[in-house]
Amino acid sequence: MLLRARDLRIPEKAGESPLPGPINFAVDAGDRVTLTGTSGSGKSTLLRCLAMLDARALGSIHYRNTSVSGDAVPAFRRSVVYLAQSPVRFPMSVDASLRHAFSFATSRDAFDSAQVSKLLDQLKLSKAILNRQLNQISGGEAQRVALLRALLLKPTVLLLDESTSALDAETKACVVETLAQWLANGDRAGVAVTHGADVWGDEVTRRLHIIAGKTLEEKTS
Amino acid sequence: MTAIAISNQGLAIAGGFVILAGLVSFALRLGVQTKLWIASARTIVQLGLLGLVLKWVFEQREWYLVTAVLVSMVINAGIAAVRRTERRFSGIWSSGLIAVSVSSVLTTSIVLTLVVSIRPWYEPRYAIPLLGMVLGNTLNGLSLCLDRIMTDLDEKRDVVEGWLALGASRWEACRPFVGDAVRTGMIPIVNSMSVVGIVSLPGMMTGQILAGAPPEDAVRYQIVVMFMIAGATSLGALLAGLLAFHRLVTPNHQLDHHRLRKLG
Repeated sequence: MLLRARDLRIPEKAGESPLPGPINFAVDAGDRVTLTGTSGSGKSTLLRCLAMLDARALGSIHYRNTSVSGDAVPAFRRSVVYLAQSPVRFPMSVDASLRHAFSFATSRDAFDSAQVSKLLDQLKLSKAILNRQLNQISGGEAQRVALLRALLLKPTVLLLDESTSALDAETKACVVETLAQWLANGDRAGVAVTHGADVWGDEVTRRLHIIAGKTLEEKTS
Repeated sequence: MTAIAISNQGLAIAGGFVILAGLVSFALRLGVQTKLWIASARTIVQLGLLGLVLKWVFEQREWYLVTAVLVSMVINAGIAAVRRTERRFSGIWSSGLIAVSVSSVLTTSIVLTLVVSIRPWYEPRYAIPLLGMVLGNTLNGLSLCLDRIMTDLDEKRDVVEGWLALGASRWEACRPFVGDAVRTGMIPIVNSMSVVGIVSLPGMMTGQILAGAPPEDAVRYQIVVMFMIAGATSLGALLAGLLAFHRLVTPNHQLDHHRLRKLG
């Protein structure tokens, strides 16, 4: 069991909680999960809770069968990387933002320029983008830069919130291909919130549907 | 040598300036006459009361009376620093109070015991005005600092959470914002230190000179006061920034922006 959520819920007044829960579910190595639901059903909130980013959430998150809390959280987030729906425009250049992620105490590896070049190619981004400011690139470019930044960390689990929404079909195909390569490499898994076509291509192993932040339906296809 | 006392007649003439201000407001229909009268009345009442309290405390010279005055000054400054901010979080009042009291009491007591070397330390003629100068100036920097960190953590939470999601610790994700907030809080005192004596003649120095002190002595006092304010402001702003950080970011390295609420 790579990632497991137990009794995940946000306790707020009735009708005000985005995730009344309790939600239980687990992700195994090799899982390629899609998470669907109507808008406001709590799918983005659930993804944030899985990355332990919502301070209101109760319940527990387990990574490789160990409950995560306190100072173990940053290292956990290094392995289980969450990408927000709108890519974050850090106030710096693309290159600086990629390098900054390697300045944290949780960073074990050195910054790998060769890997950056390889991912830029795969994601159909030109090398020149490295010197541009994050607030000056397009939405589609920002989404791919965010994915590149996440993949550089060599995560075990990716939590993607509509990470291809701003991409055209051709670019989307590159992203799907890049993700497939990443998944093929070892004990990895991904959970993606998606509206239509999903980022796991034809490789989806599980389709989950969330209703009113309470129930997770397993859809068989 | 002491200053010439101001007679009632003299006060009345000065009151004419307020009437002049009222006339300006009336003529231009600024509508601030009422506020002006109330503010003027408050000036008379508040300072009058302060004069009575100080006179009494100066005569008694009891340590507990002086301490009571000093404590109430610190509490008022803490409340005023928080009241000026646009956002609130639970614990902001205690954070403001801790920041104000630690920074001002520390600097003032060092000056009283080691710089002015006054005995006893609670000599009200020194303790009260010195603490008052420090408080009046640090609370400005403190509220700027608190306001800045709350605004940043609220409006730029995507950046903070973006770094957290990539494995940053809470301190790694928030350090630039805490730094910006402390810097913002220090701007006023740095600015006034650079123009003092050129553009502005500080009130304290003016007062001492009017009271007959030699200008070179007044200058020394003023330098000490400016440095006290600089030290107290940076320490107070740092404390306020760190306390806000600890209240708004959880031990699980989460930004709890739901604890922040904007007023109005």
